[in-house]
Amino acid sequence: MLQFTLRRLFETFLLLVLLSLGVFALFSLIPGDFLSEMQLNPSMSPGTIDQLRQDYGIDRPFYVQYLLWLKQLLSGNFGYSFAQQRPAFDLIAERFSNTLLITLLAFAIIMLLALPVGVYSALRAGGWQDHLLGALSLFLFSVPTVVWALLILMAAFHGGWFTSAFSETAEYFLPVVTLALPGAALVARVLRRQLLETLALPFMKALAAKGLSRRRVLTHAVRHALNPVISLTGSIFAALLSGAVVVEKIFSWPGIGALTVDSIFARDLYIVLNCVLLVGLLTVAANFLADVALAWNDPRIRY
Amino acid sequence: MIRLRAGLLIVSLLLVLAAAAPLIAPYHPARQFRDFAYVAPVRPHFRDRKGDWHWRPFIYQEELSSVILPAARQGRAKKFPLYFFVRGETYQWFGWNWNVHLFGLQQEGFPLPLMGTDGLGRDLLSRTLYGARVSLTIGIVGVLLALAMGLTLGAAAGFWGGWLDAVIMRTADLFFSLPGVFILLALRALFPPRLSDQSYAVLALLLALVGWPVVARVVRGQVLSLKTLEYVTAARACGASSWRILRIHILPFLIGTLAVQATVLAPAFILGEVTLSFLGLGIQEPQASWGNLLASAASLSALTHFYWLLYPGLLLVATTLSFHLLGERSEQWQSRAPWW
Repeated sequence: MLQFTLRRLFETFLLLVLLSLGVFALFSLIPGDFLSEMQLNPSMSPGTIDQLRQDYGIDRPFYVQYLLWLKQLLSGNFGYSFAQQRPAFDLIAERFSNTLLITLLAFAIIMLLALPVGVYSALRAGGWQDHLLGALSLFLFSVPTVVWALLILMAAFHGGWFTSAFSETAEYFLPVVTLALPGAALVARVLRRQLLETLALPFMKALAAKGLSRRRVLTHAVRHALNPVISLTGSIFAALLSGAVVVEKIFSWPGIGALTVDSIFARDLYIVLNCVLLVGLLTVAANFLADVALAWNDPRIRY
Repeated sequence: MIRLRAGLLIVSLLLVLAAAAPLIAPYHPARQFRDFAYVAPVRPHFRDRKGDWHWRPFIYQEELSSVILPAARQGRAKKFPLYFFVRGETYQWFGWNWNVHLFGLQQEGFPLPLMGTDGLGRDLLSRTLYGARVSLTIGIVGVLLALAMGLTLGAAAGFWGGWLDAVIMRTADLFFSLPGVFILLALRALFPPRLSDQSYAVLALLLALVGWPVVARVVRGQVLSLKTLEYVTAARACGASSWRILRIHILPFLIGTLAVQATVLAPAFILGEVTLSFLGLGIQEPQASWGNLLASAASLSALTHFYWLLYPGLLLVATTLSFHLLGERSEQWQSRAPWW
């Protein structure tokens, strides 16, 4: 297990290095640099601009710029937001924790909701409960996050939830529920299908023949059927981060998605770059954790 | 089977609606009726206030009341009959100039807001139909581009292997380590915030760049297993070139896979365009797309008073739902034995 974890950790590290290089290369494709706008300013002499260019290392070759940037990032210096006039690190850290909060809560809700529903509809497979839940999940999954967010916001305005005694709860709860709905539907369906496949396997019969109670047999089955769900968690987390962009804009939640979009409009490209990299770090970490969890649940994977 | 048929039916219906948008839409999407901002959807009547039946449906003029300009409320229960195949604004369709609209009013200067109007007095039904054109076209062109890129790169990686495989698949891994919308935003940041006329092409290209790794990964896996089959070895022993083996013996088996990938990518790409346009980074006003139509619904006043601004969302839901219905079935299609 430890060996597996260390190997995966090393691979994850390599992926992160590649990712930072890729993202940095992408952003250095943008024509002009952050000082080209200053050249239009008549009160700036070309000498000053050249000096600034040297100070910021913009005149250096690509790989030097990349290493300088990486060094700055690792020492916690995320640069300066030209649009918001404050150090980027504070700005991004604050927004990042807000996004992390709603995505983690949404993730928890997905699991709490989907696991029982998935097991239940597998046990009632073919019955009306299963058909109903199947149709419901297809619907929940098919309504895009944008539409969910607008519908829920509309319900909130009409119900006066933001002005009620629960206004603070609503502010947290509504974005989280919006994010969680499609994911919960997907996970419930995947678990149901996998559980049905597992229940048809010979080892289920063997367990039952051994005289295990229905409950114990089901525990074995669920643990076996959980594998695809666990390997899906990485991409579910990525999907939550994707959905968070629109949800944050609609619910005015000060997260990293909203910051990225605002920074694109403000041409604050260093912020966009750092936000994208940070979100990538989070996704890669989620994928790594999902892999480790999978290996922990299923010893076959470790070898 | 019924789900597949329902999915196919809705998808084809939407495509027909989008293709025939100029004919069905009563007005040009940018046409403004200044006195009729935020008119709630009006219903065609067959029976008038006195209870008399009319074979020709009509709308009441007083129902065309603007929420923010009550002055336009002057008309008293005047009837405007609906005509089919009326002559109206000229539009271009398949290269010809047309002026026939499927339905409309004879009165000049009054809207026929079957789906309501927006804040500038533009007919929402017309905008939604033209928006369907934009959103569906960008989604479908994006899917075709992504399939082409994914097929080329994935087949090359799987067939030749070695360093080519390593480079292509490690690049694909980078795309999987970022959430889709953030890749889209990162790529979008390379272009100026306001796109001009090439915005369609740029958006389709951005979507394809985000989507190709999904296709490449699946295609590579298929090619890896297909190329070990004995008849491929036999073909090689007969002296067939790599190109011929790829073309004759491998690519035909990938068509099913590509079809499945298309049903997976299409709703995702349509949503990708909607998301970008919603955020203001895609199709810009006055052009209509489902994304910027929904953006105009995302405000306190719209959500509390002008509920009809959310109606374009219904079409979006119908689109994703029907593609999911298609995809649910084609998973089984994928496992079906190869045909020949």
